Amino acid sequence: MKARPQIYIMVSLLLFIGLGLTIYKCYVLGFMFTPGTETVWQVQARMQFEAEGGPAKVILTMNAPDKSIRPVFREKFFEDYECVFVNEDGVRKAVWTRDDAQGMQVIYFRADFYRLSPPVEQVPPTDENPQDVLEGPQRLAGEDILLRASETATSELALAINVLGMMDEERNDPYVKVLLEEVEYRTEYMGQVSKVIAMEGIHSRVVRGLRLQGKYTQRSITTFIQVFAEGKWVLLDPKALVEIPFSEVLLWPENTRGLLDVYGGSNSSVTFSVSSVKNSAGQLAVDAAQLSESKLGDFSIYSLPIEDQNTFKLLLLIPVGALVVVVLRNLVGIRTSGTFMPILIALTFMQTTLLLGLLLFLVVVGVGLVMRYYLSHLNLLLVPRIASVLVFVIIIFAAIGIASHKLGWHSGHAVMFFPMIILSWTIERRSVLWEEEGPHEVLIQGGGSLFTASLAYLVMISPNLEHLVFNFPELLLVLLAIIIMIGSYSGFRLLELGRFEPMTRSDE
Amino acid sequence: MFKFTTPAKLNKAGVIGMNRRNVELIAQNNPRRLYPLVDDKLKTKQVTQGVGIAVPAMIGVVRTQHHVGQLGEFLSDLKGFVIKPSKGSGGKGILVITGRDGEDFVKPSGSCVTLKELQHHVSSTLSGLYSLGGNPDVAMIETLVEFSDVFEGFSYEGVPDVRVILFRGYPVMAMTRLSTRESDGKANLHQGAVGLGIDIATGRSLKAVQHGKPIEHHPDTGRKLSELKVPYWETLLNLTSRCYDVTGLGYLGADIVLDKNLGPLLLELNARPGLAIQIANGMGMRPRLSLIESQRGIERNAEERVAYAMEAFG
Repeated sequence: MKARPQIYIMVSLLLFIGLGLTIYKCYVLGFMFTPGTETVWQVQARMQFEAEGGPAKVILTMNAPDKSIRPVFREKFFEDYECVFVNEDGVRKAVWTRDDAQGMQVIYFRADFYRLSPPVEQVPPTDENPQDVLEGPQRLAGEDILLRASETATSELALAINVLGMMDEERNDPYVKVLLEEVEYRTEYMGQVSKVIAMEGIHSRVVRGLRLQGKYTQRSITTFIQVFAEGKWVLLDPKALVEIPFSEVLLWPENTRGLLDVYGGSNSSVTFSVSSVKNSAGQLAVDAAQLSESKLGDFSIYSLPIEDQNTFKLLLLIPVGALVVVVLRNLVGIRTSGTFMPILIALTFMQTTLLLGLLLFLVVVGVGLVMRYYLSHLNLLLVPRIASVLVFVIIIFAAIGIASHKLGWHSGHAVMFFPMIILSWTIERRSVLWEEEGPHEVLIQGGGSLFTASLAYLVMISPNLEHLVFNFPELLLVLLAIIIMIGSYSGFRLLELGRFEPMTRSDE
Repeated sequence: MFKFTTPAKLNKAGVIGMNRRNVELIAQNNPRRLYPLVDDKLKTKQVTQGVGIAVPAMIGVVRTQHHVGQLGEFLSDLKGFVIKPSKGSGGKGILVITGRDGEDFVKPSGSCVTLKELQHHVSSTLSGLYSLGGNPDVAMIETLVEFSDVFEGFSYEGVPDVRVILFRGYPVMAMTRLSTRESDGKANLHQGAVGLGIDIATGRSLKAVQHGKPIEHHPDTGRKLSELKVPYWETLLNLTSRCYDVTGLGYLGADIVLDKNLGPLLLELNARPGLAIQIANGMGMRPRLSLIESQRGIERNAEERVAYAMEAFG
């Protein structure tokens, strides 16, 4: 009885380690539970300035910290510049320095990332009402614009959109003119829009960022307006006057005036290029983990060469097949011929597909049994007899292969994937079983084996499962825990409920 | 036909399932190192004979392929004998010869086997066809048991043996399996043989089941099954109980045949006896096992254990 506590301790330890690692990798390292591809955004900043001949220092303000963003690549060096990343009051900056810079300088900085989830909802404004700052004629103009805008608006958001549209398009409107009098840059009209809708008690703020959409080069940073309507922040595209999801924008922190500060140079400018590629989610998670210098990510199977990865993919599926066999034999009570023979057959099915595999299996074993029946009359010794069956099996393989080729039915070649030694033994065992126990028992055990193999196959081909075991190999520990638990299960098997059913009849 | 019950009902009936047998009975009572003693019938025979347990007499052992060639000469004077693989399981590879027809050997069914076929059988046995895991084996040649006629009319073909399950040396349940036309002379319950539970206290038949249903008469011979009483019952139980002392296996199945002249003979022992005996007895084994469990620590010899069991399970 001492084994019991040991089993419980071992199972909980395995579950703890296996599930703990899985959860850690999923939530901290950003591994995905389901297979799929992720869009990786490649953002490149091009910084340009004329150096004055001395030491130069270039400071680029980086996008606002965002938990949903997972960087997979970041360029750290550029030619003669040294690059460091600093964090000033929550604003991240990249700093390039060089001792002697002469003439036109161009620095490229690329960062690749993908979004793990939609960005975190931004905190709602703390004040009840936004600051109402417009005065004098501007206030009157604002009131008029609000009046006209509210004619067609049914909600706060629609009102904000109307104001935004009027202020952008109707520049000759006298009231708009009043409001935009002191605005230097065309893009800064959004600050005025913000002030106008504040009169209606609508919170808003002007933010800058990069649109993550399509592909573009040499574009400067864009200004967006965020409106707080119906209890949440909405990002508006000032040109198209529509809502943009936050996930399609890379936002810079608020209140950053200049993106780029250059010391020891003049005429500086920064432009951005954005493009995207699709990448496998699993590979990305490992790249991200390696970038964040996590040891766990580095021990992933993805760090192996591709061809080894494929071998491992198959290897990692075998324990899952073993679990299917354990469940069917010990919990359901299905009899199979050969304990793990069904797994090998299931692996073959993965190459041939199920129906074709079943058909080929039945043909090979059927023909093999007929030939083995003839052999039993010759009274051969055991090893030569099985060797003869093996030769038969290979002849059947070749026959099916050639015949299907001649008939133009190419799937027949799949027969080659069957493990011939295992098949030979299967034929031998079934033949002995047939002689000793009769065809009934052969059908039961053969059917059980094929059923188990088919089920194991169906489980093993699931792309979700393949993704899981490949990305979370530590789940094998969980699998082990389940197998150990089943191993100590002393209750009834499903089929025993039928077998012993007569014994409970007298009670009724 | 496919009726299902609930685990709760089975537990109430005290039924032991396959998993419980493996996890609790076999794993906890039968140390692995003791298995070879029962898995190898030659060893079983040697140790049981050593302490005076009655077994069918040994004529010879075929150990090498070289011996196979000498079989014709060796068997020339014998009328009836049994050839069995030493490490066989489930009755596989057992060849019974009841007489001679010139050079040929006659099987119980009346069909003949030539010397060549017999040698092939022995040779297959040696190369491990019938042994557990396909390991090389030896073939034992035993005298033919002269079956007692108590089973006359109770079986369609062949002579049944008596299976006794022992827990820590106490006989807990007994049964015999009677072959039918439907089971093709085989003693497998799921193939249609009749399972006949035997009262531990008296050796009388308790109840009979075929395909899980109670029956009164043998389906082929028509004999009333309640009339069966195994003779020398206490001697038989004592014999099985002593097997526990020899093997040390806590959960043990003993197969006994009744010889006309020699009485009960131990045919073979089984370290993983099946659970069909519960169906044949119409009751679960668990209450009895619990009772034996409660006797832990009380020293009893074989006769005392049998006496206790006959008293308790009557």
